Amino acid sequence: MQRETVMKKSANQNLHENEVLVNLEESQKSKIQLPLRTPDFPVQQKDRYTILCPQMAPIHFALAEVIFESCGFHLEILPDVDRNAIEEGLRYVNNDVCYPAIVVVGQLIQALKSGKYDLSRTALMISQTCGGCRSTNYATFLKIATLKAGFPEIPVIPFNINVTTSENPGGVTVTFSMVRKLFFALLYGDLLLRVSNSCRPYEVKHGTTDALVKKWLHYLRRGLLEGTCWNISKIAAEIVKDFESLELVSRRNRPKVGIVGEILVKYHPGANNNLVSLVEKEGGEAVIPDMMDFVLYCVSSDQFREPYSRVSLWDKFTSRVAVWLIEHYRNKIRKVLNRSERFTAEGEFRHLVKKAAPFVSTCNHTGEGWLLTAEMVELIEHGTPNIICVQPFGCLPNHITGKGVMKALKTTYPHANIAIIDYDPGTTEVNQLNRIKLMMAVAVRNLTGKTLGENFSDVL
Amino acid sequence: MITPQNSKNSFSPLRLGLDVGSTTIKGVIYDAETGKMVWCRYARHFSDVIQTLFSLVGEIQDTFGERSFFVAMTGSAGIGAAMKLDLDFVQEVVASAQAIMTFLPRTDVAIELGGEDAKITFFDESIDQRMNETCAGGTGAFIDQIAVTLKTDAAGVNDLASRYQTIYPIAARCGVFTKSDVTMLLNEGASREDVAASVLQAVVDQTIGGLACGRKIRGNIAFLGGPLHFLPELRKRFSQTLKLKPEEEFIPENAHFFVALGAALLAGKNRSITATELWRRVYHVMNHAHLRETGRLPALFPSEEEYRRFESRHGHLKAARGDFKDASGDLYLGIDAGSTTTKVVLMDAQSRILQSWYGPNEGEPIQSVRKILMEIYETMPEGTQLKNACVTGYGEKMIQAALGVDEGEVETLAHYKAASHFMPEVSFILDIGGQDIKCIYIKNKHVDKIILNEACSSGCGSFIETFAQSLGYNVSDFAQEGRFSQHPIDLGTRCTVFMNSKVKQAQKENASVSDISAGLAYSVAKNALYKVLKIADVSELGECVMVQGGTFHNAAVLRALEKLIGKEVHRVDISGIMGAYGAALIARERGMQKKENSRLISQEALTNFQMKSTLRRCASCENKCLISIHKFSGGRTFISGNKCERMTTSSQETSRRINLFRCQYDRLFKFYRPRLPQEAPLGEIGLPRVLNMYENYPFWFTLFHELGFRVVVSDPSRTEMYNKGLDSISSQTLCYPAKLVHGHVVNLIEKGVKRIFYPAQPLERREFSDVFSSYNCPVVGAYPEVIRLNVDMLREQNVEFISPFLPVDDARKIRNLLFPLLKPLGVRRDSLKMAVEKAFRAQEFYKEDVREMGRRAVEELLKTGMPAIILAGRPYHLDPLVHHGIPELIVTHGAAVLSGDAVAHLGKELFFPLQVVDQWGYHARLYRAATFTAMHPNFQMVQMTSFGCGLDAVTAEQVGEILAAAGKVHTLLKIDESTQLGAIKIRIRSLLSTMREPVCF
Repeated sequence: MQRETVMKKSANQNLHENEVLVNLEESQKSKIQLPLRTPDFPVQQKDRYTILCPQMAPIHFALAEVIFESCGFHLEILPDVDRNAIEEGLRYVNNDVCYPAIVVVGQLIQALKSGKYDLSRTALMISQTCGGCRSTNYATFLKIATLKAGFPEIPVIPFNINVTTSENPGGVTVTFSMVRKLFFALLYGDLLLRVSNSCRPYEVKHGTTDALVKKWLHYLRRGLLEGTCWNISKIAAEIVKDFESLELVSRRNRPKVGIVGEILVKYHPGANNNLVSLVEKEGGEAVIPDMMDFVLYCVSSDQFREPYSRVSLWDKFTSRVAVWLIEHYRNKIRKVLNRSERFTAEGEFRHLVKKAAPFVSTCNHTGEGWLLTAEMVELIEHGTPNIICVQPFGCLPNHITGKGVMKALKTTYPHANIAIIDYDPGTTEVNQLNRIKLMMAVAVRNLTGKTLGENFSDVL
Repeated sequence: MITPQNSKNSFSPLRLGLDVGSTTIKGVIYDAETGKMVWCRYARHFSDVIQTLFSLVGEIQDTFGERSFFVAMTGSAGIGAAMKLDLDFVQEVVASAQAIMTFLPRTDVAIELGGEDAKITFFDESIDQRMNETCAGGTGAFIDQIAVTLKTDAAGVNDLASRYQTIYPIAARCGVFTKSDVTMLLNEGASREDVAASVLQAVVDQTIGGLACGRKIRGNIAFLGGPLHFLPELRKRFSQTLKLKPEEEFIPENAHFFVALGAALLAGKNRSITATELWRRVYHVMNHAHLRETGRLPALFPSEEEYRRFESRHGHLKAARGDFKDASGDLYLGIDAGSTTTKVVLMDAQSRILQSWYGPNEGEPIQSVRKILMEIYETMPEGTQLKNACVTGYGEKMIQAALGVDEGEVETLAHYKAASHFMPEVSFILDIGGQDIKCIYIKNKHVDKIILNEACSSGCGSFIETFAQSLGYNVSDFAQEGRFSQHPIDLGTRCTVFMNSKVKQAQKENASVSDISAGLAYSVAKNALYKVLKIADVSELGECVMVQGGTFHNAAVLRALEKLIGKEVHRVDISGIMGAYGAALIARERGMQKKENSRLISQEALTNFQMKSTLRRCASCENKCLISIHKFSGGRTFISGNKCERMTTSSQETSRRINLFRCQYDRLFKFYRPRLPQEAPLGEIGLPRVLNMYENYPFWFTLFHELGFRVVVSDPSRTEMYNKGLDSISSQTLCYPAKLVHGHVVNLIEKGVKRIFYPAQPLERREFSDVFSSYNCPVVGAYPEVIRLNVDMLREQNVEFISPFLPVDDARKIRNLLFPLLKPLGVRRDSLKMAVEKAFRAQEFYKEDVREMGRRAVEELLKTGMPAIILAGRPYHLDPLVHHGIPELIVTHGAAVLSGDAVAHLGKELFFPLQVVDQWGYHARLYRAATFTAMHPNFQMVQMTSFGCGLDAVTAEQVGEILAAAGKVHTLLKIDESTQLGAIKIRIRSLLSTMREPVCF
């Protein structure tokens, strides 16, 4: 075709790596003003610094906090998010950014402004995922915001959760012992979250469940710091026993409601307007899939992304080993849970992977990717057809594996009862409430077997 | 149906359902024994819920005396009331579902529009309901708003719509934008009848596209809620759009009472109360303190004293005035033809205002200016003559053409002109008009940066206006109310639509009108500062902040702004007509040097002035704009509705200018000719012309072409095509280019293609060595998944949809992954190998050609010194429907257009490490194109971004930083399906005029 002309053009190209152009560029270059940048974190002086870290999952992070402490970082997890933090976020972060970024950045800036911290000894930490999602750039938002807010001296530390990839620009290098401890913190966090969520709605005396969680958090924090809680089977058994002995009302008919979605909005009560309490207030029992699944999803991605990207044999191998290792420990907890009468464990990861396959490819690796779909299928198939799928307004990956699969899920599982809730700093709770309440009404109705044609007012 | 019964005969309790909505209260009494509705009322509550409830309940007590009731409340404002009155509350959605199941059991889908919400309920095994959660565009309140713009009420809209002839495309994404679309259409001469029908159609499109989210609406449809009950034309638009047969439409005669009826049905049976008891409770609550949930803000003026100081402070900046009767010599005229108002200033040679006008244009800008001109001609004293006239604002070009105004100037410059006249050291101008916010940063007496609200009208005056009206106030009274509120409600920042529901919430808590007014003033100021201008640090604004625009006549807004930025601002006493004043100053400045008098239309011609408008479709490009041709007496014509200026300027002149967008688009698709059917042994395969196909089409075309397929690419994007795909879109917050995919796939199916190939490619080629990665955006990378799962037509028409995940750069892997998929179609392994190789080469040729285009264009531009704009975006912004003819617009305004992709390779070396993680393939090019722009004095960059594009929140910051490092302006244009380019035009003109000559007064 016309290719010959193209070839000729290409041959000519070297002729003008243009001289005029070069001269011009040189003169212009001298005018360039380099923009401000936040300093790198001086890891050698880590004990000098207080590192502020935004909240994400209260139980998990309470445990993670001490691990950083034990590794020589003075980590301080910031408490709950208030309206003012969100206002700060809106002020310093581009408003089109997803809600979690506004929440976490706002919270950190608020802390810097509070005057509680010696700014010459304060650093900020923020998690950084890998992949095509915006969350990879949360650290960037934070850096821009600290500069804009007038704190150019504050270092920002991106913390990369994906331990198998060494690509972690400017972040903290994670040592093996730290990973190990974090891993235990996560396991215990998941366990506590699971048992507490399935007890709280039924407790006879209000507050007993949360008190028990507090007690165990206290114990585990010390244990993790002192390195005395590595015997996971034993401790898990004790936790389960303790929660089993909680006095509960006989199991009334409460529908189980799964909560899935974007990781921060899913776990952070401040970001999802206390979704768990709402579900419980509306007569349901919240089921939140383990955070470890997300870690496994990240760790295992090297096994699944081969079709579209280059993965070395070594990476694949380490990924397999890591997944096997994590599952090995999780199985110990599973055993304990399955022995109990009150609690059930979550299915194995290798089964979870298969759940997504009929709907979306396991090549979906941005955001929660295929895991989101898989979790929904898993929940539906295991007695939790009621699901609330949460995400920040305009969450990109969830367009695909969240909202995109709804129709197919409904066709395959006609009894599925799914509400999709978007969170953003502007929406009032009225709309969220309405949707959740309708979903809950249907859930209660499905459980009690009344059809809507009949009068079901006694159900409500 | 309403037959009050003899209440003494029966003793079983009746059922009372109270639906307390955002604007109305509906009450229904239902007798379960007879199955009849025995009483019903529909009342607007003007945000005074309890009071209205009180009168309703009083009426019930009068009618039913001592009978007892089972009572349930529902509705968006019902929760709080129910709690306070200790009544059962039923979720609105549950109530409406109950009523439908009871009274219309054959319903498959119910469409319900309310005051501020829209719902679609699907009835099958599990009831599925979708509500408008993020947008209230397309609801009753929205129709009311538009009705105001059309100078009628909702019923009037219905009446107008019944006589329509043409339906214009209107983006119904948000009420506020639709309103400006409507204003624009009116300004461009579209008839009110057509506009009314278009608005109703927009409501329909919004409801179906926004709520159905991938589910087909079919079967028996029930239409419920006030708007659908009262507006038969709206129902007609629905049935036409959904292609309903008459027997499939259910329109219950009491549609607007359905939710209340549902509540009545669901009223708890365990506790009944008498009408008197109910009345007593309401009475008690009415006279009782109430709780607050919505946040409150500090009072605007804590004391009367402070207000007086504020008033006197803002009294001192005054424009010089002269007496018209005593005027002599040359007069200068400035016209600001805004979107909703017309402002005119007449001044003398000493810049004294002789006469000024400010008024709504009633949707007829020409006529309103004409009236004023007539008045001027009549009252002009002897010995004066009009020397020069200048027009600015939305209607600039049209007024210029119609009335022969000498000069036209872009409004931002007119505003700066006026501001600097009073305050030469002005550092920041904030103009809040009816529909738009303009802000101009001035540095060293140069216009440094211009920000307009093309994305959002939430900080604008018209919002307060319509809100005031909906609460039954006029604007100035409403503003007065706000000044002395002690606890303004906190409405936050973000879309006005959300504010509506915040106000809803506040009303629920019985906030007073005064608190709402002050809260709105705060949020207008907040939106302007934080949302539109994104000001992080108020010191950015500099020392001398000036405010103008009609909205600042509202003292509450002015005060809220001062409170927020923490400093006193300046307001001239003519703040509402500053644009016109600036235009007059420009007319004076330029007229001084002229010898002859103004060419403005003469008095006789004005008296006999007539205009005729005709509509037709422009055929110059794929956009096929619906254009209006206005013929004015005197032989002048003006064309509007066009996106580009191709119709209006000589084609020769513009064709000589470089437009790489056009070239790249043609090179991408037209370059490749598919096989004829008889030459294609393997049959046809369809490729959608979407998203990453704009990057990789050469590859996929060549691959399948070489294998022996006839490649069928979907047609160039069209609005009708987009609409065809609407009902399978699963997420309403997606960007427009992604939503378009659905339409393209439908288009391919309609073309009879039985096999569609659309690969998912999460990674792009790595084009630069120093990038971290080269991802695609999550949506672009995996969108085929959504199509596969949501487009039912694929299954219905037996179309094979091949959508594997594939790499872009690994030939072996592509072969191995494709072979099993293509083998059944008759592809052999060796021919696949050859084809893949050729495809790689074709892709490289394409890229090289684009780079070559860029190289040559840059060379030529450097030679001629012509200004050029590097228009950067994603590859799919090449789509003329997506970019709305912006490249053509730039070309006709006298600059060359280069695409970002064509120059990215020339800016390879970044000046400094990027702040962002450089990990997206398309954006890596964007950063480098920005770097290139930064290096060349006569290039400027304009970045296009689609609404809902999450990634550009990241990249725009970075591009801005790169450009700022070289002292350049970063212009970011947000585009979506809306076709009105008014604001974009202003920005491009402002940008070009700063390029041509540094603006300096």
